[in-house]
Formats: sequence, structure tokens, C-alpha cells
Amino acid sequence: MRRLQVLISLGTFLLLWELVTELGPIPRALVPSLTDVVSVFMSSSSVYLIAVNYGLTALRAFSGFVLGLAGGIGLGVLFSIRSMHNYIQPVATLFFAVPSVAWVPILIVWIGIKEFELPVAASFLCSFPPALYGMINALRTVDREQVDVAMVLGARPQTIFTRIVLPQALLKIIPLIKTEAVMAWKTVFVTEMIALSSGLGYLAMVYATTIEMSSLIAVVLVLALTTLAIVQVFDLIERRFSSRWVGESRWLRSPLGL
Amino acid sequence: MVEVTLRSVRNFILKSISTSFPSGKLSVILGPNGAGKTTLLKVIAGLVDYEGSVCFDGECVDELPPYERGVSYVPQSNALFANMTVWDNIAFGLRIRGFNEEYTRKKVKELIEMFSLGSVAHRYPVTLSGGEARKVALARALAVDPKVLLLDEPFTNLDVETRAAVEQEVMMTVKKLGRTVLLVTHTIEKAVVNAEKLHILWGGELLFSGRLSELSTEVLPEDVRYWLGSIIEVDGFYHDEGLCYAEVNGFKIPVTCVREVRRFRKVLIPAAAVKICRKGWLKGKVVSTGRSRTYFRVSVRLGDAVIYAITPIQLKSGEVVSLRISEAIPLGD
Repeated sequence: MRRLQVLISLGTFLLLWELVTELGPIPRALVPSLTDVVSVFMSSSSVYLIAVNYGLTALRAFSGFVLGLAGGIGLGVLFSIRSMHNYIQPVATLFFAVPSVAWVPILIVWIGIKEFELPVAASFLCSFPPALYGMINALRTVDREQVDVAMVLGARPQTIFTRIVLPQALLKIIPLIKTEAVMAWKTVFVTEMIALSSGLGYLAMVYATTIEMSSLIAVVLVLALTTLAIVQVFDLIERRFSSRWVGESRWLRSPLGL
Repeated sequence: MVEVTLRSVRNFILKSISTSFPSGKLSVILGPNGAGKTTLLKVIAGLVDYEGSVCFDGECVDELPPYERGVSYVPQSNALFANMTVWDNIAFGLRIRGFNEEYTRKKVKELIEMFSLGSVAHRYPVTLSGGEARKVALARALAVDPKVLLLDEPFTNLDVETRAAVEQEVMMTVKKLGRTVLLVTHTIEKAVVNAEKLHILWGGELLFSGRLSELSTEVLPEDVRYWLGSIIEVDGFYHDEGLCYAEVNGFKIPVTCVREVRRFRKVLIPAAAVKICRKGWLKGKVVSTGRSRTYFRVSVRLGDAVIYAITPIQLKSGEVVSLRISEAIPLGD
């Protein structure tokens, strides 16, 4: 039933788009029709151009995101073990509060317009502060009584940490990581728009400058579908690893409800 | 015998205490919230720093870590490991202690059958009902064959039926397995009646330690009397249509049905079980009144007995009121 509703909703939107642009008063040069956009994906040269730049954007976003995630989780664990979280958390909170895109001009000054380092650093700053902040909070809020019971049952600190505390803390930060993965993807796109000469963001700017609206909307469509795919992947991870621990109801479905 | 001699517990309300709990029997630690009951359990389990000694059958365990003390602890929240199934929760202690998989499987299966948890064995804690979760926590605690079982408020947040079932499981554990069980509660319940020894904690101090039949509320401070209730001699007990009653000065008071109720001589009427009404057949005269922060205290003479009650209405001494007693607890053999 839910899938049918999604199909009806999307189908109606696409149909209206096609009808309004084909028959309506809006000039197609500004708002291309659905068939115009689809034709971009039929052209091998356009697809090649989008694919190459998509690969670059994805590599940059993924590299920075993974580095930030590993660093944030690792340091979060380290600071919690060493009971340094009270000193680190305020700083992590401050960094977490800075919108990711706000880092881009600062990074341009610090790193320069470097095709790989700049977007990777921007993506890193999307995932590192929230991973650190989330991990510290998650570790601090693990149920103390579970730890007490595990101790009485015979578990040593290391076992308690790896078998009880860490899995439950990771579970708590998955929703945060999902949001930040999307943010990393968007931030790299914006960085490419502002400063770089490759990647999907750059391609979007080129198409905007030359007023190739069909190609521009095709790029935006790829950007949006990738965002949805990221949400979908994290939803799957949540369902696979954690919904059975915390109950299905906590997990919201992805926007497409697939 | 579990002997506890405490001088102080760092950062906790618990004060100097010296008491003992009989081996293989149920002991109840009774007290309001914040009295230090949970802290006392944690002292025995070795989960908090303390000055003093905890000895099991003459052997002091103060230098031993929690897992070498031979105790198991069931906290009020059950604290089931959310990332493990019921089976893995119960098996956790055995696996950690290095028991082989065959023994672990046999033991877990035995406990699952004992607590009728077969249908939920492969489910995660989040999907369990309150009663099932409590049973899993009990089974997990028993899996490691503890000498002493520490239960923190095991009957709270359960409906009447589940509560009765869990009470039965606890009593069965004491009788069948011969475990020393220390049970903490803030309400007077059936388990209190079955306890070999009762301890009353109030503001970190041990006010009473002894058999239930030795308890007399007259020696307790006023605050405690109005929290605990009144203990009165009864003329007799009888059954009527499946319900139990005590006869006091010609009045009929409903009581908790317990085995061999006729051998009991006294009842405890919790202050919370007494309602002051305008109309009713159980009439008494207000003999004293007082005020606490949120309610009024009244003591009402009912024949020779004095009943303590709390009420939101201010009453005057000498006023005749009606009482409605929901349930009294039979005491003493």
C-alpha cells in the first residue's frame, strides 16, 4: 500500500511536470520538460561527463567522510576511556554547531584551491565533529546498571567495553552519522561549485553559465538521487544492526518509504 | 550468613550499619526511596567503595572484585543487555567465566524452562514485557550459581498478575535452590511476609533488624510509623468466598491471603492502605493529628487499636471518621 502511494505520488508529479512544460506558458529554455532531461541521460557524451565528475565528487565525499568518522569515533572512545570527555566535549559541541558549509571559505584560505585536499577536508569536517561529539555522548549515556551487572557476572572492563558499551554507543550515533553523510555529500558539491574545476558541483556551475538547463537539472537529479541512496543505505544498516535492539518504531523510513 | 559492618560509604547516604542476613533464606530490606537500600546491595556486591567489612559465612570478601564474591545482582531496571538476545543475556555470565559451550547450553536451557521463557529465547530485550524481562534478569543472575542473590525492587512496575508470578519465582528460588536472597523493596508486600528477616532502612540508618513478628511500630520514629503503618493484634483470621479477613475488636479487615494465615497473630495496616471517608461502617475516633509537607497525618482509635493514616483533609482530634482499609498484611507466627 505504501509503495503504491509512493508510485502514485511520483507518477503524478512527473506527469504534471511533463504536461506543464509541454503545454504551459513556461519557456522550455528555463524549465525543460521531463523528456528533455531524460534525453540528457540518453546521450553518451553527457552521461560520460556526468559519470566522470560524479566519480570525483563521490570519491572526495567518501574519503573525507570515512576519515572523519574513523577519527571521531576513535578519539571519542579514547577520550572517554581516559575520562577526558569533560574537557573535550565543550570544544566538540562548538565545532559540531558550525554549519559544514561555513568551513569552505576558511579551508580555501588554509589549504588553497586544491582539487582533492580541499573537498576532502570539507567532507572530513562534516563527519569528524559529530562523530566525536556523538561518540562521547553515547559512551557517557550507556546504562551504568548494565555495566554493574556485567561486572558482577564476571566481565572485565575490556570485555564490558567491547561487548556491551561500544555496540550500544555505535547504535546511538547511527542516525547522527546518516545526517552527516548526506551533509558531506552536499558540502563537497557546494565546494566544487565555489572553488573547484571538476566534480558535479563544478559541472552544475558550467551548465548554469551556459544555460544548458536540461543538463543542469539532470545533474541536480543525480545529486538528489544520491542523497536518497545514502539515506536508504543507512536505513538498511539501522534495520540490519539496530532495529531489533531498540524496536522497529524508533526508525523512520526513508523519504521514499522503500 | 552474610554479615555487613559498615562505617561509611563514599558519596552515599548510607551510615554506620551492622547487620546480618541468614543463609539460604529470604531477607527483606524495606525503606522509602533514598533510604540507602540499593547502596547496601551495591556494597555487598562490591560495586561501590566503602569502609567496613562484608563477610559470607565468616569469610570476608572486601578485597575481592564483584565477580569473585559469589553474588548476583538484579537491578530495578533489569539492565538486560540490549544488544543480546534473551539466550545470550542468560549465557553471558557463563561464557565470560569460561564455561564450555555444552555446559552453557545445558544450563541456559534449564533456566529457560524453569522460568518458562522458551517462546522468547531468541528475542531481544526491547520486545519483552515487563514480567518477561524481570524473569530473564533473574535467570541471568542465577546462571552463575551465586551464593547470594541481590534483588533490587523486583516487583515494581509489574501488573498484579505478573507481580504474583515473579513473587512465586523468587520464593521458589529461595526454597528449591536454597539461595540466600536479599530483596530490596519500598512497599510492604507478600514477600515481606515470607521473609526470614526484615531490615528497615530510613535516611541511611538501620532502624530495625529482626524477625517480622518482633516488629513493633511503637518504637519507631513518627515519620517511619506514618510511612510503614500500624501493627495490631488480631482476634483471628478467616476465609470468605476466596478472600481473607482479620477480625479486630469485632471489625472485619481484608488481609493478603497467605498460606496458613490462621497461625498469624498480628496484621500490619500500611498507612497508604487506609482511606478516611465520610461514610462507612468501620468507624473510629481521631486521637491525634499532624502535618507533613504534602499531607496530614492522623491516628484513629479503632477499639483498642490505633491506626495510622495519611489524608489530604485536615481533621480535628475527637472527630469521628469512617475508615476503609484496602488490604492489611498478616504478621508473625
